[in-house]
Amino acid sequence: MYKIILTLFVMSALSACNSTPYRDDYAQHVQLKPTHQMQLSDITIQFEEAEFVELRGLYNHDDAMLGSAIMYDGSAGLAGMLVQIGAHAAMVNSGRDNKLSAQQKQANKNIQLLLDRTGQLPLSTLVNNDSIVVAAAQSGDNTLRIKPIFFSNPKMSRLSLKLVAWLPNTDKKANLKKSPFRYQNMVHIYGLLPESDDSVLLDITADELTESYRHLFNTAIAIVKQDVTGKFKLTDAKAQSFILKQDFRNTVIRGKLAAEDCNYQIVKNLRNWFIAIPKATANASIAETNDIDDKDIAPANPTVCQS
Amino acid sequence: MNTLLKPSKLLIIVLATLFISACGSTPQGFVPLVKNVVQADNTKIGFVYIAPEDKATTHIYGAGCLLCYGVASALTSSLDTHLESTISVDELLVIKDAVIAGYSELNVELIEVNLTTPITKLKKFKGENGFAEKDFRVLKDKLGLDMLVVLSLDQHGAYRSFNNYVPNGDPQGYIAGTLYTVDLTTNGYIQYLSIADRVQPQGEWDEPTAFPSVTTAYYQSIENVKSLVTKSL
Repeated sequence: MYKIILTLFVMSALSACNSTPYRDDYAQHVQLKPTHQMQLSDITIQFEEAEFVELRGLYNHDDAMLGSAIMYDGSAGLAGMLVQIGAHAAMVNSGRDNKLSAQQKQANKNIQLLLDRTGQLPLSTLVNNDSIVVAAAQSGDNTLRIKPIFFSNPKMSRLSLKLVAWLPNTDKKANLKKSPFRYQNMVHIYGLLPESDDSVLLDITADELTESYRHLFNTAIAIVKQDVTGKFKLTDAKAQSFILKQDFRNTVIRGKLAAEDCNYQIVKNLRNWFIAIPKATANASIAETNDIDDKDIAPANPTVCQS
Repeated sequence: MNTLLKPSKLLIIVLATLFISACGSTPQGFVPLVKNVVQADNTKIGFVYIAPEDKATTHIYGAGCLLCYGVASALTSSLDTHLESTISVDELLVIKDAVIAGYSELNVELIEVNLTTPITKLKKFKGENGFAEKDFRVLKDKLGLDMLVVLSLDQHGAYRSFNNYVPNGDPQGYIAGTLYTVDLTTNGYIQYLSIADRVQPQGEWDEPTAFPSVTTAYYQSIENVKSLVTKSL
């Protein structure tokens, strides 16, 4: 029995040594207290663990393993049984991590041409003039920490951005282990989906590509600023399904409409993240979309848009 | 030494083999809709929608022993509570509407009917693949119809695969059922579509009590099935 347990323990320990998938494109929402809401003019921004544009391929999240027959040694007693189940669980979890990691690596390989084309694009060059970027040494209570991760679809025709933003908890009485953040949320914004099957992001000029990154980045920052200044007023209406057009299959965003303008529907999803859904598929080049500043994202009201 | 089996033993083995092999009948495969048949003039087509009998819950597969199933149930109990209390079968009505709209696109108006006898209580029909397992022909005169479209959604909620005690993956959004059209004269399928849609939740799933990721995956599954049904018509 001990040999079996030892073998399982070694196998599970070894399996834990394999590659770890990215899990940083996720943030647990922490609501900013109404009394802590900020003034737009006071907000500064600090890039956290990010200096250049980080681009990844959109990956398949399905890490489920196929079932395989396993026999537990019945002579091992209850404790032995629990150890065997624990070792089995560790092996399955490791297999799932490996699968997800491989899918992420493959997704990045699929967009290698776009990764090469993007190169090292400094985030600081993308920020509009109305946002003040500060270094870590100058950060203060009103400094939003942000970590942007850009994604491309495998066709390299559409960019999206997940921007995690947070404010550290500076309350001296707070338990920082339990509540490290005063505020934390994520914005996920999608670019327009071109109607053609071409790899549009490889065909446009370098300036247009930079403009595509800039547009998503500044719109996402604007949404975060709206959130921390308390501009989004949501009703108690029931969550609805919003449809995001994708290459092969439409994606459902479940949540409530937080704001709407001529370019985007901004939905607060069930996790309280803000998802910016473009209102139309692109007939024109991605770079033809206009820049959005803070004023452009209005609270959810009927809006008259020119076609 | 007698190496041959006695005739009685041989007979028992042959009968048992036949009995066991009869349990593994070939499942009905996909039958694409024969559009010109349903679009024929003066064809009366009825439509029955069968909603799931059970509330939305987590459907567990692969927990191969009673104790394993107990452990699996315990692992998914808070998700079950959430699904049962927040998701109603009415969410699935958009799939029913998609079937009606799909036939409407074909210029076929479906007549919604209520069956006094459940389909499961109809007599068995001894036909090959391509024919319904139940004898629908009795409904022809009873309902005054030529064909019957049936959308039966059997399971909804979440799906979680286990390897005995250990989950193989996260709970996925899940809808299962069938959409089929039966010719009430021949009992043959004009269409047969098996539905089993599973959607992987994005990112973390274990976030009680609202389980936002699995809930969104469930609504994604509804959208996928709606799209599947529309494309099949």
